[in-house]
Amino acid sequence: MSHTAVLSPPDPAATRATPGGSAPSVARSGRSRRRRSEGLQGWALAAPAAILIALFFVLPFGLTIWMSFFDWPTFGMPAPVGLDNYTGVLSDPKFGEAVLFTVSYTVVASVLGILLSLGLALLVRPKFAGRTAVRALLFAPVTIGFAPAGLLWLSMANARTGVLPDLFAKLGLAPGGTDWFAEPTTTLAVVVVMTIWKTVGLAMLVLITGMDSIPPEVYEAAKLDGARAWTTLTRITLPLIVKPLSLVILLTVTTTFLAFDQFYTMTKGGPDGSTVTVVYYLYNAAFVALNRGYAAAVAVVVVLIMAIISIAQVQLQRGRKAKP
Amino acid sequence: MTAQTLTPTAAASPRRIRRSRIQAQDRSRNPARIVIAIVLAALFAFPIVWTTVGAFKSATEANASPPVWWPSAFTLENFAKLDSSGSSLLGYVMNSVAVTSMTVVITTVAAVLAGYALARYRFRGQNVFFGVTIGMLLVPYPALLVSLFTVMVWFGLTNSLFGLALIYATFQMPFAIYMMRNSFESVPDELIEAAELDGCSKFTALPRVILPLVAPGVVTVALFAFLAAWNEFLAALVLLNNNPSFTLPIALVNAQNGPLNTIDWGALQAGITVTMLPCVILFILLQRYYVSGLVAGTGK
Repeated sequence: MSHTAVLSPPDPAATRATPGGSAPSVARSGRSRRRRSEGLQGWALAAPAAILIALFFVLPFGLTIWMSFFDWPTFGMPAPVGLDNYTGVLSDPKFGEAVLFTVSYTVVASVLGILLSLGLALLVRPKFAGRTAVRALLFAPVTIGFAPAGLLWLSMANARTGVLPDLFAKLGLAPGGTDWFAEPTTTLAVVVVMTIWKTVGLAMLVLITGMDSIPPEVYEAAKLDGARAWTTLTRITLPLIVKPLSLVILLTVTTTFLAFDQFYTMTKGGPDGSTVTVVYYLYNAAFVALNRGYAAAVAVVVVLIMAIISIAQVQLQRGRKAKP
Repeated sequence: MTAQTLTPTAAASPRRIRRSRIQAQDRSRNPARIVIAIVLAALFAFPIVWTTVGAFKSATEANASPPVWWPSAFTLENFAKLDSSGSSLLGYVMNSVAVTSMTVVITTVAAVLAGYALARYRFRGQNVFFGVTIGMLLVPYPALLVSLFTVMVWFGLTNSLFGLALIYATFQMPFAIYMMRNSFESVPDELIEAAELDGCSKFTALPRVILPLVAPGVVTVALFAFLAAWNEFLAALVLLNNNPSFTLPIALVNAQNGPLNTIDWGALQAGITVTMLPCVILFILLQRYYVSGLVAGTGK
């Protein structure tokens, strides 16, 4: 749903195995009855969550896969079409363009965002006067939704009443009245800046918690050895925050790849369809062209792309760990 | 797969916590650091301040080109006319409040109960249940919207704020259940045993004895649910299609595409202000809980 959903990592070590097979053979009937009643109570407690997940996650998930093999009209009977939807998606040049655009947007926004969040984390980690307020201000945009944030930046960057073009004109950086949303490059630049403004605080905070858990002795030892700031950063801080850093990378890449709100509110996919992301393409197929079976195939492809990103991330981390 | 990436290395030992406290003490008196930090913080705050000020400009000043940097007088007129054709700004605020409070209540109740079950009960299929919940994180929810729309038509829940809240609550489950399970697991067994000796059953011990102890976790879950529901855009855009039931983010976009494609920037900024300020204020008040949710989420 939002960044928050992705934040919760599973913890298999803590998942306790259900006792059953290993139960002592002397289990008496009273005991097993108690266990059965415990089992019933457990399910009764889990029921509200389980029903929600079954109805609004498992069911639509299965239905998406099912629909992707059908021509699914809004009214009337669905007709099976085999793999036609998939071949259609993969052979549509517009889909290729959307993937290409989303990948480049993701790369630009993620690289810039992660570098900036690392810089900010290093900047505001140590105590100084006003640190709490500074951190809160850097983080505040994270709590604003992408849609209002997109409209906010639209109101700041539009050619007529926007404060940013006005400021650029006053500083002599651009002629007055330039419409930033008329050119694909400047349009993308505005969206990237807005995305970074809105997301970098979260990454910063995750990195700070990682940095705070590095024992100070390590830094003291480095200082005694005469390590310079750069060496300390690349040889101590970065290797010791690999976990939060890779979490931040995964988080940033996946949320950026699924971008929709900011493009819908700021660019409407324009100019000339140059900023249509994968999710925007999905939205158009499902709710503008009303081609639901086809859109379901797009959705399955999106799920697969995200799975590949996650697997690649795990492999990268394994590879890093394998090195001595 | 992501499962493994996100797994925490080791539970923070008390020793480690003490160390990190010591380290948090290291101070910087470098004036350059402080100046840069304050300048950056001001840059980050600028859009929020600009929009909030813009919300109080008169219509002429809000739509002036080039823009007026500071209004000559503050007025409330923008707040009255976000959408003169449909319901008022207040109507959309009430819709958002309704969706958000339903989401918060449903999420909190479902996650507290399920978290308690996972932490304190043994039942068949418990690992499958937890696995599916966490597995939800692997499926991006925009990908499910096509079929969610169909499902909502089956259930007669399109255009329903309650239906929207059910969806929002569902997609909060991975974080919320994980958070609550951990909170309940950190309650010492002795406390529950003592409560049982005092005549409580495992079930009645929940509201009387244990719930107060996991209150911070509950606040964190409620805060994340609030922010998610208040800000969500795509599902609301797809599932709500008659104007009076729009939530704030959808109403804003609608106002932006007003008649003749003209935008009343003052009204838009008033709407943005009403949408963003509750989140910013709530975050500032409940920062501690946000960070603890983040820390729990990143497994530190």
